[in-house]
Amino acid sequence: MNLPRIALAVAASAAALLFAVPLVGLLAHAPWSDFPVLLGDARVRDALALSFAASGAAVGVAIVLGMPLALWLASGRSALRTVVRTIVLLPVVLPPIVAGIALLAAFGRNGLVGAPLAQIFGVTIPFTRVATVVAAAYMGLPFFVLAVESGLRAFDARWLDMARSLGAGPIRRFAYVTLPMIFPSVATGMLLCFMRALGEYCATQLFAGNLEGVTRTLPLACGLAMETDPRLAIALSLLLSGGSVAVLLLLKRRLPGAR
Amino acid sequence: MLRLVGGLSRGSLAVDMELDVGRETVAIVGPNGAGKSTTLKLIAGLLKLDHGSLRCDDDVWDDGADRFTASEDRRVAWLPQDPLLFPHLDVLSNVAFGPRSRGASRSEALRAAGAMLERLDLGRFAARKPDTLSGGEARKVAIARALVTRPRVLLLDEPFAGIDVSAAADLRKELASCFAAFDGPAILVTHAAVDAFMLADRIAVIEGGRRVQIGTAQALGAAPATRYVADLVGLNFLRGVVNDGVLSLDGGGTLVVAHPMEGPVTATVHPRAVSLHRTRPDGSPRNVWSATVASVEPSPGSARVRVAGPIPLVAEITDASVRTLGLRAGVEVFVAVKATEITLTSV
Amino acid sequence: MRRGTFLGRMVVLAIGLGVLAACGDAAGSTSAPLRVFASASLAGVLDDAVATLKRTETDTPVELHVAGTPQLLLQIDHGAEVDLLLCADMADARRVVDAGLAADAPVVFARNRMAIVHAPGNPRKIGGLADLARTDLRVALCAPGVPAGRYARAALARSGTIVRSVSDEPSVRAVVMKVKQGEIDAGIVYATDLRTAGVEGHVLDSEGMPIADYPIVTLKSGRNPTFAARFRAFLLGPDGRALLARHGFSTP
Repeated sequence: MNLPRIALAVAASAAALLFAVPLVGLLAHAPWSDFPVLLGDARVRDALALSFAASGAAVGVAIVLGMPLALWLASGRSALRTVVRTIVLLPVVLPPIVAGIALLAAFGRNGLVGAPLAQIFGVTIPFTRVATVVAAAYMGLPFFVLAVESGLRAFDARWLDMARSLGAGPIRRFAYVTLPMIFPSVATGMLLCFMRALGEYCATQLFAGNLEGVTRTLPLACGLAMETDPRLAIALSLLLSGGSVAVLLLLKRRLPGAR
Repeated sequence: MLRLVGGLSRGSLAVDMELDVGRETVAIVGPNGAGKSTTLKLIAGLLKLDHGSLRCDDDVWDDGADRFTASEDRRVAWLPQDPLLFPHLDVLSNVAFGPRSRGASRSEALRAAGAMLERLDLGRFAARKPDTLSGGEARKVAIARALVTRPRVLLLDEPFAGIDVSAAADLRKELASCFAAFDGPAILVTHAAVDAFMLADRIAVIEGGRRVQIGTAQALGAAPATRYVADLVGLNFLRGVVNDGVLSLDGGGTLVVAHPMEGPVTATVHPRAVSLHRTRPDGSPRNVWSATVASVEPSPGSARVRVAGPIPLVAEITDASVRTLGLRAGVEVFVAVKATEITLTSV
Repeated sequence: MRRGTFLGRMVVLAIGLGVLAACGDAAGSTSAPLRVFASASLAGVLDDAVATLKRTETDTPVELHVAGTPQLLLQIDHGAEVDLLLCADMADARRVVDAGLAADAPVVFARNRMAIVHAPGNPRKIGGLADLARTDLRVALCAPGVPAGRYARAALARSGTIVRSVSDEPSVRAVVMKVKQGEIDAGIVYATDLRTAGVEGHVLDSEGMPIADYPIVTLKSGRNPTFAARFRAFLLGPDGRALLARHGFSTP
């Protein structure tokens, strides 16, 4: 008898069950017969399309803004970097409601940036598609930056020395050496960012509002369905879970223990 | 003509070098951590001088202050110990990377890369990815990649580290012809004196970040400046051809060897493995001949005795033996070398 | 007892654990706790009702579970043992009756009018429903599927006002919160929501405006029917009516 091993097996099974049981519960309660009707609903399709568009745009924002940030963060060690990294990572640990409030405080109608924006340019962000992208990007960006930074830190700078000695300038070194070689990290970052953006609920509800076809993303539709038609909520939950599992399978090669 | 005077100090790493390399190959040898690789990086422009200057012909590459030519603008071929072939590019694109970076069009670069691969007999690897190459093949590709940029300076860091004996012999041949064809300063970092002897015109020994001696292998062997030089570079190197266990030396004479190798080789004999006798010795040594002592040079705790004759060698003899045997220039001695003490490196 | 499904048992288990944690020694008392499921808009008034009853009547613990009505119905469907259901729509109460889960007929114990909510001091000068059509205002309603959203749209239709909602919120709480944050200028919520700090508004009490009815129904699955009856009587009686009025509800 190997007691520690049995104990380990029991604890591990319990932990695995903790994650598996809710999913099984969802499956058990899925209104399978109504599924095609529920998911074929134009409102669901709208929400799905909106979610994918917003999450895709969030990934775009992550690449444009997050890549330079990750490059800077990975380029050395300093107190300023630590502070900036902490701020960037905040959305990961903050309750999303806090993130939503913070976004309103910044870009809302009375916000730090939002108020002058509205007064000078007549532009308001909340209740627009832009707001869903901002909320999604705010929540997803940290994952991208984190993944890319760790990829860059693990990247052996000798490759850059080699490229330099062969005559490659900084842009060429980045585009033809760094980027292709850290691509797995970038791809992981993009997927994680996309997933987090896709699952974003609270900050979007607060900051972007909840209007069908404009800002009602899939999680928002799911949350609303919980108030109106719980069967639809379960169907939508399954849809989101299925999508997430698909992405995780895509990610599989990059997760620890993958072969 | 490359001239480096000065260096840098960064934590425990301190290099203060004086090195002139003309149109020749200079080997840098020295113990681990002596600053060999650092010296190469300084020349390659991957590190900056704290003090002193580095010039190539009339160009000041680094004046230890504001003037600094970036690595990408130096046209230096830097070949570190690890070949560092870009893993995401095939061999042809790896070799084309340099010309492309220096402004050649894509097709020009690929053409030049293909030609260089053919020249080094690597054409068959063009479409392969680096991770499918053996260590020796990867290194040759790295050499092709460096040469195709028509560098002004050639820098090689431990080119034989980590590859097997036969691949090393192959690579050594390649490098020898490559150095012969190269019309500029070439620097080879190695810890194996035999490589320095075989490939370089001069050997620079560095210890603790400083150059302690520079000169031909013969000059260093005859008068090593330090114990380390004596141990590492003060070896007897003999060229010849092995045939059926007998080494026929280029300078005349033969030695029986115990190594199952055939063809042209360099034989290395440690001075301590050379014994001197006043009478013909009995017993096992099969390589015994008589010679004349050319000189006796004291070194700490022992003496280095040069013998002339068909096979010129240096023997390291204890002070007591020198007295007992009455060794001095002009004395006739029997020289004995055990076959098992002769190390062969194929050329 | 109805044999619950797996999810239902999990819900009950979770609630049960919560009770154990919350009540401690009360678990040893002879009478089972009274479990009340109530619509979110009743949270405030029921908290007060429970406190009052505790002071005057009994030491039986009361578990007040507050959520959106569809969620409550889902949990009841899945076998939650509930004494009383208090919801915001007679239709929902009837569904429980139709499912055979009710022990008595639903009775309306409170009514709630709809109200326009806006920032304190009414800076945008919103006088009535017609103003909500102004293009310089940002207005949000509850989603049509939510009772408050249904009532709001009924009110607007009645007054002939067409409003472009910038956001169809899942709950009146979300509407109130956005008014508070200043992100919207006005919304339509329940009259009782005007008691929330940080907002003001006016009740739509003219003739023909929709009124939300709050029915109370006793369920068969309850484990403390005696106390359930007392609680019901309290809410329907004079003390309960006074309490409801203090919270902005009208009574039938």
